Amino acid sequence: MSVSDKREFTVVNHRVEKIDALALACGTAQFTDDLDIRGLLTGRILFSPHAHARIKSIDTRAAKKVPGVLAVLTHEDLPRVRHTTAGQGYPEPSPYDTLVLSEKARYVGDRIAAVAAETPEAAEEALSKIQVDYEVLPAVFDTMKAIQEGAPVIHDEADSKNIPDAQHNICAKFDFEVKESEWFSEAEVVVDQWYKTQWAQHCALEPHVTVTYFDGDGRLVIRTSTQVPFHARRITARVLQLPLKSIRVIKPRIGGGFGSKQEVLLEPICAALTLATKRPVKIEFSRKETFVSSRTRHPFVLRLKTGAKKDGTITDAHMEVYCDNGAYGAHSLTVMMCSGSHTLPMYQAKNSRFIGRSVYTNLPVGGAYRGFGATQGFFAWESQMDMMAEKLGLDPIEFRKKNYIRSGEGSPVFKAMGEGREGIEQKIGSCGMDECISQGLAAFRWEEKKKRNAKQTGVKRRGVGCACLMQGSGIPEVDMAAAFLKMNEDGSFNLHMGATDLGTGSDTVLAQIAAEVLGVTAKDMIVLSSDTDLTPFDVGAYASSTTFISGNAVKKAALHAREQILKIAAKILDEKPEDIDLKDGKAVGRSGRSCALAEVANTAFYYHDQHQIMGVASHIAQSSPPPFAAHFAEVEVDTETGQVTILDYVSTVDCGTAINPALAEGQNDGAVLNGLSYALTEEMRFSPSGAMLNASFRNYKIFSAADAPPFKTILIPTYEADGPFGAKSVSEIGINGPQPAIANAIYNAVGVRLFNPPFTPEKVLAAIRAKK
Amino acid sequence: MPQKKGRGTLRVVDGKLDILVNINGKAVAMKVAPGEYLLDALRREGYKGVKKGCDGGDCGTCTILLDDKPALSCMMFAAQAHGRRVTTIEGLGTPNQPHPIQQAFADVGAVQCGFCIPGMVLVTKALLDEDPDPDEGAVRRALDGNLCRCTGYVKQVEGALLAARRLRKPQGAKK
Amino acid sequence: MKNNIRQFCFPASVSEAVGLMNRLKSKALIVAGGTRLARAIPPAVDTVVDISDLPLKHIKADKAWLRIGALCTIDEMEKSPLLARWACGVIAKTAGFGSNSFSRGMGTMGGNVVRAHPYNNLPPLFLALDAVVVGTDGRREKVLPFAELLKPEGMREFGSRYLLTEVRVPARTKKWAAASERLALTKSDWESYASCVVVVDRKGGVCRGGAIAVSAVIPRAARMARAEALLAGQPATEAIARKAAAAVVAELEELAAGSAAKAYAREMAGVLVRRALCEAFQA
Repeated sequence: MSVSDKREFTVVNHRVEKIDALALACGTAQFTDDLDIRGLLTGRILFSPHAHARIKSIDTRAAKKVPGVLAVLTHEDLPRVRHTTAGQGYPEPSPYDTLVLSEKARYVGDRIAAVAAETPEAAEEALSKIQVDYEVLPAVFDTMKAIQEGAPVIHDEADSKNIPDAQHNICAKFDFEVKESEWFSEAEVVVDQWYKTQWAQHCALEPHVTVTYFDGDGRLVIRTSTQVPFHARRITARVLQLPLKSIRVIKPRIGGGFGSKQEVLLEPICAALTLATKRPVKIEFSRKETFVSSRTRHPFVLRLKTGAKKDGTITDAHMEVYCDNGAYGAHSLTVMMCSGSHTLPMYQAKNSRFIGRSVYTNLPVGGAYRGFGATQGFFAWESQMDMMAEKLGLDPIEFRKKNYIRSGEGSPVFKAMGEGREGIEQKIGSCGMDECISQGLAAFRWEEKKKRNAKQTGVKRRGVGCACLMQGSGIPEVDMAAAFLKMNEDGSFNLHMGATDLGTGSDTVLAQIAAEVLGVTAKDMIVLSSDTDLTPFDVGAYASSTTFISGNAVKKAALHAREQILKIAAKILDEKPEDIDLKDGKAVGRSGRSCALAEVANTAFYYHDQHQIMGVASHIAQSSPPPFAAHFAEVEVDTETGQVTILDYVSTVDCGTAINPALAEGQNDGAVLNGLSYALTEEMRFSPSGAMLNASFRNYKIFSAADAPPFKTILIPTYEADGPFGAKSVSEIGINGPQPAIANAIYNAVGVRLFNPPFTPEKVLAAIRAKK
Repeated sequence: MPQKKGRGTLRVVDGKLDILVNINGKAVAMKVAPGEYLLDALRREGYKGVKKGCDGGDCGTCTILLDDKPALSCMMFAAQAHGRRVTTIEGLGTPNQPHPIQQAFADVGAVQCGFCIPGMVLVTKALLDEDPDPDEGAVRRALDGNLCRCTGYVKQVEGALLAARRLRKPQGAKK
Repeated sequence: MKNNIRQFCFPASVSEAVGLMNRLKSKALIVAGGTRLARAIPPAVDTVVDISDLPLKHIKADKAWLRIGALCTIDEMEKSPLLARWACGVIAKTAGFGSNSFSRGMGTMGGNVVRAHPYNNLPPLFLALDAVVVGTDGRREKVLPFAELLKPEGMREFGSRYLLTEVRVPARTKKWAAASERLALTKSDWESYASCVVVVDRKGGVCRGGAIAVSAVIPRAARMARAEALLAGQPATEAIARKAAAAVVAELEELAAGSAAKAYAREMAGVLVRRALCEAFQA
């Protein structure tokens, strides 16, 4: 078996210590703001206090006179280049509807002006002295009202591009249908239900932060907390009309992103301030600014009308979604489409229809957020599956088993719906859903819990619920990643890649893949990632792509280097290259003779076939193999207060080969806990005039260590032929489960179904009352 | 350092206060602005392991130990640290010579983005100094002021318990 | 941050601290536990008085009173063996509701009561326990029933003229039954829908009297006098707990004067009071 297809691993699939773990735990690893830069100015942004207002004039004269203030910028000072802040592949499938500093206020928190000053105090004072004359306009805050005739038109400017219907505030639309028979003609049971999900924020612990400066050669360096360094370079160059080659983007350690840093938000403003002042500038969002003016999870209004036969065969699936994008259309088409493209293929219906609209409102802007539309879609789908099962008189798990997609099967949806464009034909390779369910049921003790809960009296009632899920692994035929590695004379390697580690551990996982190919340890890899001057291109960390796509690029680059190593080693060992294996830092021949990799490197440097051993490769995927997962929740509902307590939660996930099981578990743990608080507590609340009311961790409740219920991740190994050493993605899928699993468990406990998360005590009690 | 008769009075001279703080075992003289918070002063002095996650007392990334007890450096004026002992993450270990808590966190995979980890390590240190054998509930309660969005806290709790076990074992003993 | 601070003082004694307060009046900003008092420092302030060195960390009992020093942290109250035995341990149990390790470790009793936010745990606790608050202006001691502290003039006096030194709980409450309840989104959520503390003086299954304090649902923690009156002389049963709970809701409705806002929270205050009473009856 070739090294490429091996199933027994020495580095991969091992709990290797994360390569930056100790530096992070010791506080020595450097984040964006952890570098002292002489002469650094403070950049600050003036945000709109109005949800919708035309700017009649801006007077910056008084602000510029504040001592220590070096620049005050408004839209009049910058090139008028409409763009999207969404850090997507080019051309971005989001409307070009945004200016770096806005000419019109479209939400409370919109960016109106920017200042750079010697001190934070001076910057603050300058902000307070900018006089903006606003003409306040009627605003719209409701998704469904925004698309009605006569609603205020939020994007009435002439120079925006790719807005399908600006007059009706529609920033993206997509329709799709496959039909084998008349709609609902074969359905014996039909369920037609509307769902509504809430505004939520990523809450990465490191706020968005960017530092810009000119290096000694006069090139603009952007040191920034980003998931997409190469897109950040491209978009910044375009909007500021700078040559791309004059910009270098460096991504240091990143304090979490979860999608919020797949946005090019601060880079252009900060760069514009450096251009204006010729000085280094830092802009760092406060926590409140992060809540209001970074990005959010798009709230959705969804309708599912589904039909099934009595035997449990799903016949029809009509899915209609209205995705609230807030004031700008970042990720409007793609998030909306992924609510269908990641859910509709899961259960095979003969008739499938998707109607999707993304809608502008005068509220904060939606963006990429872990789960990326699938989260909202699965809340509806997995609630609907339980409702259908009940109507059919079937066990909810058996009903799912009868319908979910299996290995070797395809779906017309894969072809019809990609991310913002047509997708690709694909058949499911690996699918561990059966195992996910059986192992999950056993670990959760589903039957035992059901039996115990069968006869309940009293005020507090327990119930169980489940959800089955899938996601994708990268965007096929779009996402490209590249890597190169070079060998040093001690047998170590420099691994340079565009892939972006935002705390996920991808530097480690990718080092493990290279090490596995080269027969060394992960510690023999010196990783440098995400520097647009020093590393090859990669689209960045999103769409669950890094392990699958960047991993394949790294694997290929390592194979490329391996070929060269074997040739030199063959000469040293006097054997054929194909008879040599690399292990334990050595080249080992069939005869059993071996030489250290250091000797190979030195030979190549100084003695034979002199050259630098280096591997170079790019990768683009032809498929996006879904990971699968099953989630099981037990809740206790207090029927007097409506409070829901999670008693137990088990999630099983098939991510193919877990390149690093500890990190894979960590990814799932984090996604699940985020999902649990999204289900129960998290919600951005707004005043009647559109200002966010709870923009702090004190008022926007994410779970602490003491709030977290007991929960467990179980990895279900499968082998995905298209993935590096059998791997698929793992980072997003886990967030899709808690909302529906808990909704189903609440129903199981007290017989009421909630369609509008978060499931706060007040809502649950009202539902219980309504039922009586 | 002034001890018996209290910490006295500090006066602003030329817009600054001169304070003397014991940081990680060393007496450090600092000039701070009168309204400056300890978080900003420490970062300015180079203690970059102290992070700014919310600047409002809600996240725990700016944790220090003040006279050995966890404290939020964003919630006190720098001048309030005058005459007191401050431990930052830099005072525990280095990547080449990590403190057992830091090593345990790395070993179990508790570190993802790592922004919250210095705070968690310091809180764990204070907990284990007081209670060398805490149960999981005690660890969770001790860590409940340090928010983390990456990990679900599972592996940090595991890391703290592993560190406790290792620290209880005599020198040289393995896990 | 913009401010006019000219000095930091670290008084070592109560008299020194009060001397500074009296001399500087509104120019002084008193800080203790480290909780950030204000994002913006009032322009009048020119002196920060850090009182964390004052010897006010006692928790002790004498014949008449249980005394808790103003600088006791929530942590110290939770861990105090004396408080664990007092009134079914209700003080130790309730002090750390809706907290995190920092608000417990840095937050002080004094800070919790002088900044009597409706979500704070200690005001309803001390109200229910008939506590008094003690302060000094350097010359004489000022003793105020706890309910008086919660009034605007009480707050003003203790914020400027008097330094709060301790809270005293009457010794007679030591053997009383007590319980507390709180409804919030999560355990560590500082905000809550409603919270309550109940204290019952009970003999042979009959209530001789009781106290019910409610908070979070109203702007200031308050005793529910009508519900308390229902308890006196009645058997300690679930039926009487229900009656008292209904009276609490009625009283809260009156305070809200027909406003629909917080109707859920008011109803929940009733549920919590009933549950707390039943627990206290069984203690």
